[in-house]
Amino acid sequence: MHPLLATSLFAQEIVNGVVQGGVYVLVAIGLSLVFGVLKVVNFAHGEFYVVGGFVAYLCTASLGLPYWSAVVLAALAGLAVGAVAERLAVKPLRGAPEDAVFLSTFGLSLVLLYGVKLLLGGQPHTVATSFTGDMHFAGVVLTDQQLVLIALTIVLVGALFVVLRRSYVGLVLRAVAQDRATGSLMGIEVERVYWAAFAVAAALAAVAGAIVAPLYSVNPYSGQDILITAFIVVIAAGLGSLPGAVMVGLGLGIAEALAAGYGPSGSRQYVAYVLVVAVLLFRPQGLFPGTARAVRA
Amino acid sequence: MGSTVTRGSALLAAAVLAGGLAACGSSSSSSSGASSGSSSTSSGSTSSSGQAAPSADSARVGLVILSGPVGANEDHMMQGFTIAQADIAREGGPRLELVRCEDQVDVDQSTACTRKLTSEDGLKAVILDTASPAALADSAVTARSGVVAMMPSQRDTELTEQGNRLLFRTGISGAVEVEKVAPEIIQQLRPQKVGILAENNSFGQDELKRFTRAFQDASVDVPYSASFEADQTDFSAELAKAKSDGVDLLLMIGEANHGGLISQQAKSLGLSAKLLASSGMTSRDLLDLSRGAMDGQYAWSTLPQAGGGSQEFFREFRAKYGQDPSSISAEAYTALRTLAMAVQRAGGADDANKLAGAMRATSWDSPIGAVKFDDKGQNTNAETELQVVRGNAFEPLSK
Repeated sequence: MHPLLATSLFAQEIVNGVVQGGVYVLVAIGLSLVFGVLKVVNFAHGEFYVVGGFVAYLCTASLGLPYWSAVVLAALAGLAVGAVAERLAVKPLRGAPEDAVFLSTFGLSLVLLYGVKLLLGGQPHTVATSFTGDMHFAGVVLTDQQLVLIALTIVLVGALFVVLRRSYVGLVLRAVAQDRATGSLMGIEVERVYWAAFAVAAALAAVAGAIVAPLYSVNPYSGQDILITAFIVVIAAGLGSLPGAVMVGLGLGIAEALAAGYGPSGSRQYVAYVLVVAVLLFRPQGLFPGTARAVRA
Repeated sequence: MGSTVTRGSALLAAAVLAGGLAACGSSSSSSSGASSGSSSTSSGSTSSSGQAAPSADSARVGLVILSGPVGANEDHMMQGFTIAQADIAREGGPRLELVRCEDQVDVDQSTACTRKLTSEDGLKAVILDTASPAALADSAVTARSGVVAMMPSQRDTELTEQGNRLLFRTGISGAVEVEKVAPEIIQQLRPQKVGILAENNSFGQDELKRFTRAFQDASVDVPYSASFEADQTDFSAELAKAKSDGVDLLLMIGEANHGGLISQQAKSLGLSAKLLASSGMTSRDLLDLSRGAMDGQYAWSTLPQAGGGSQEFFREFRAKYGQDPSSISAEAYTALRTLAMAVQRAGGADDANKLAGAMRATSWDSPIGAVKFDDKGQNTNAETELQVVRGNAFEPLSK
């Protein structure tokens, strides 16, 4: 292969990997946030991603709204569905064994999945976006929608970190994550914090669904597909570690793209599983366990 | 906190590994947690799903339906069955009550459905899951149960090589499909370097190997081939490699949702190669999902638009659904019509051997070609047609 072609293939795969990694990051940080604050393994998180994608689809295809407003409405829908879900499926089980919450969120995911399927059918849909152009640089192509995804991932993750580290809300979240009882004694309304964290995580997943839908389409089962990878990212990063989730999510996206570009046929699908098995065997606390304190401490 | 993290890790890891194992087993990552409850519809008149006593002019037919992430296939199949039921009723054929069960694109769920339909519901004829890996497992269940099984759209060549005398395929096998399509591709599209993206299941891998061999035998280079999972939505990394390998024709083997996304992403990436969609993709969904990227590109279909038996089917389908039928609809239609003819000839579906004998004696001019089974239960006359996409429609390439 010509050296220039080889270089541009490598650069293209890195770009592809960053885009895919951005999707993993947006979904995984919500999961990580919920586990970090509520200590809940949320199996319904992928369905919030689906809700976001379908709200964007309905807003653009049925209501004729511009794409950007569809993304905003998807975020609000995610916030609302997340808030209701926390009250109905998580709060009543506060203090119950972890397995009960685990089953409750799993049940919630099935309700949402089949609810969406019942209302909108099982077919995949793509979302019309206003970002239809692309950029070419040294043989590398980046579409406007991919750029939007990368930019929004940076903005949302950055905003989350700033809020967590620099604001009173973040202080409260970290206090509750670290010690619920002490936080409560200090006058923090713990239930409200739980509620907010869960809803914000759902909104992040919904935004991811709305941004990804124009690129990869959305169907009622999309959430289950992305959830497994998001779980892998969270486990490999270290449970509750937001910076870790960002680094592992991006790294996994890039590794998968490089495997598809340079590895044997089909090797891409094994990257995530090799990663999680290796982490569980050799570093069960996760690759970035120390950074968990950045969220919780 | 340590114990919480450890316990959470254990739960998450168990869930992820379970999901991974499920994905490996079924080439899909979708859940198998859905109910296998069945519902039924019947031709002629509406009927409840109660255990009506079968008679010479009626039969209850099990239907293991492909659902889940490729749920559009479910709609296409049901549309084909609906038209078939109307035609059977109009022509005074037997009343066929369809008892359906959804597989959720999961081999285990599909097999559970087949067991339920053949054991609990006691059905003597089943139309198997259109996914080849599931059909392979399900056909073992029907063979053990002594039940006649029909395969409308499954491609895996192995399916009719098992020596199961009660198994029939009205659709084309992968081997015959490649044998018919590959020379036509070479002759009409004249590729120099072919890339192949195929779904990672027995059907996709079987066709990938056969096409690769067929192209190489004709001195056409195949510098790139890769497989993808049923739930994959991002193909940009594979397409970047195909682009750098300089392919001038990219063969896409899978379902319509895959073809739509591959073509859309290929266009975004500036891949200049011609795109060619496999017959399983050839439907309106492919065009909708591609958002115009398939315009001017190619596909092959098992539903020839100029075929003798297809004209009436096209007319009926357009009148009912306002759009052209997909290959899958035509294959579903053909399977049910063929089964109805055999049920009528056998005087019911109670005796599986008699029904199988009647099936072998059945021949008719269907939308997908003249149906005639060989000793292995394979329809020997299924047709193919190379087509080009113009606007929102498929047209024969030779037109």
